[in-house]
Amino acid sequence: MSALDWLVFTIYFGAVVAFAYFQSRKNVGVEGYFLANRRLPWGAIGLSVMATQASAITFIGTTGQAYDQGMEFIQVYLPQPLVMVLLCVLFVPFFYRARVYTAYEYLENRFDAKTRSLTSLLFLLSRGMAAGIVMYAPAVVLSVIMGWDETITILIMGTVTVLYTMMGGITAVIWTDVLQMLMMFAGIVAALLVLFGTLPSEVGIGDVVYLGGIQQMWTSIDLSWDPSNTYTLWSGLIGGFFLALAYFGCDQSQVQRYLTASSLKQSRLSLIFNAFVKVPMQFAILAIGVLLFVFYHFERPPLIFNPAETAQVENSSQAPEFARLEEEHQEAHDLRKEATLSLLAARRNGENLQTWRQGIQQYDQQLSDLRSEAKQLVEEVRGASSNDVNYVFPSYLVKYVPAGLLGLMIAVIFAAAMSSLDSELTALSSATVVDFYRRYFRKKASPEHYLRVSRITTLCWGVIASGFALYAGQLGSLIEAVNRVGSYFYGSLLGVFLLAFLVKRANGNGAFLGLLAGMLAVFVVSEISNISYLYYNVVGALVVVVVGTLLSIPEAKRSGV
Amino acid sequence: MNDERQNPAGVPEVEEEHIGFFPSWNWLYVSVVVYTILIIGLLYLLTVYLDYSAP
Repeated sequence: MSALDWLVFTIYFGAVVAFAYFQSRKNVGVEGYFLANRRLPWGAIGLSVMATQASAITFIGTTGQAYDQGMEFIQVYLPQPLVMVLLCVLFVPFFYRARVYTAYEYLENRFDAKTRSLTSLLFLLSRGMAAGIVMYAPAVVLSVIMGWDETITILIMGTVTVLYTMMGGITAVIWTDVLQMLMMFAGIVAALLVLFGTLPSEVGIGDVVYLGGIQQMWTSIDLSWDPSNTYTLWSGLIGGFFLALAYFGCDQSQVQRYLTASSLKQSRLSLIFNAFVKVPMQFAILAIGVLLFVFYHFERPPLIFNPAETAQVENSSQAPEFARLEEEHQEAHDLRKEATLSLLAARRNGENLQTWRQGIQQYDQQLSDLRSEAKQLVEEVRGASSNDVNYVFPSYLVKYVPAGLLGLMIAVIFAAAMSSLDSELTALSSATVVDFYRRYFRKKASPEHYLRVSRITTLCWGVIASGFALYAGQLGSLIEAVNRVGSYFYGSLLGVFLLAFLVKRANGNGAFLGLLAGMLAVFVVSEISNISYLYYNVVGALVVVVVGTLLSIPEAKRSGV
Repeated sequence: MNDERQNPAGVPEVEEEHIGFFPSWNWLYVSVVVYTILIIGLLYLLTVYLDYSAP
């Protein structure tokens, strides 16, 4: 990075810390620390909800995915506006009027202590480790692409985030999220402009659209019915709906945000804001990936974007095979570039494009096959799957983005990671203190005592998350296991809340046993079928509602409900 | 049920209030649903009309 990049990067960190410090002075007591004394406006909450969802890997991973597969990932986000409406109508009024600190606290009011404790514990286990991954994933990418030390990257990211979250609580978190989300918006616009700027001067927007269209990169809707495919309209609308409802409606890292609103109206407006903005933003992020795909028609893309994986293969017994692939890749790229330039010239002259178009499609396919073969080699050598999609965008940034903008884009990646991490930390801390410490260990204590404990708990979760991030590289399959367990309980958790809101006769025992049955059902379905993981949430939620309702009937009859 | 209809300060929540230029919350919710349908339709048009793969 140049001096200018470092300057931009330093200004970002300085602004975040100063802003967090300024905002943290407004906190009073535990309610101030966890809920900003319920006085925040909808705009700030809306941006914070968005920043919490958009992690660094969302930013760099989805662009890489669009580079490989086009816009189809957008389908997962399509039900989100509808989810926001359901949250406004059903979830938010219950949470807001119950005056709870955590989503799980509501479940004790509605059911019993064991249901609250189990759901909160599941959240803590899953999110505690996820907080580590939020830091680890971008740190690895930046260490490989920028040559930065992974440990130092994690420690800087973790220390700054933990410090401002610990001192400022939710107020500092939400207002820094606003700053970080605005940076992400600026980063997306800057990336799109820079990508256009680095294309050959004779290539216009129409050409970009056309070149993407030749390889069906703009295909956003797949109407086929295939439950094993995550990227169809139906998987997105059905599975994505339940996933988003579980995430925004039952995950404390999101629920906590809209509990900070100054009124029910402000709370709802923050979600409606997301309903309108989220899909266009995701479209813009994916469009960066498609633009990258077009850009690499004119510049040769790396066969594998992760330089560490490339070096590993080049130093293994597979080196000769990899060299052969590199040679063929170079040839195919040269031919595609020639065909692309010829097609653009023919397009300007109004000539027939079919020959050039077929040539480009043929070379595209060849390049894609070579990339798949190279990924297989990497997987053989590493003994683990390749996550090359995460390196596509950062690799471009380092090579082609002008000084100053690189610093901004790296700051945006940090902003995306930190704005998710700070929300995780406040959510973990609030669930620990409110659902366990205050519930089971110190029911009566001074506000100062709870505030002190809350800060210490935030620090502890920060240390746990950083420790997990530092050792995540050696945990391999454990991370996969954590993600898997997370997908087992997410839909089931949603089922418990649906039971609470919709089934009047449901009781604590029914909800608790229904939750266990839901998780078991998801486990069985994942073992015996190949349906997309998006549907696990549908299965979990429905089983909990059905089993919970049935098991509640005898007790309801006895008590005459 | 009375608690469900009042905010913590005891002031009744008005579901039929104006939200910007929307006459009520229901109008706003319907506009979100229409917006979602329009987005899906627009993406479908992109899928169909920006597909230059066919000969």
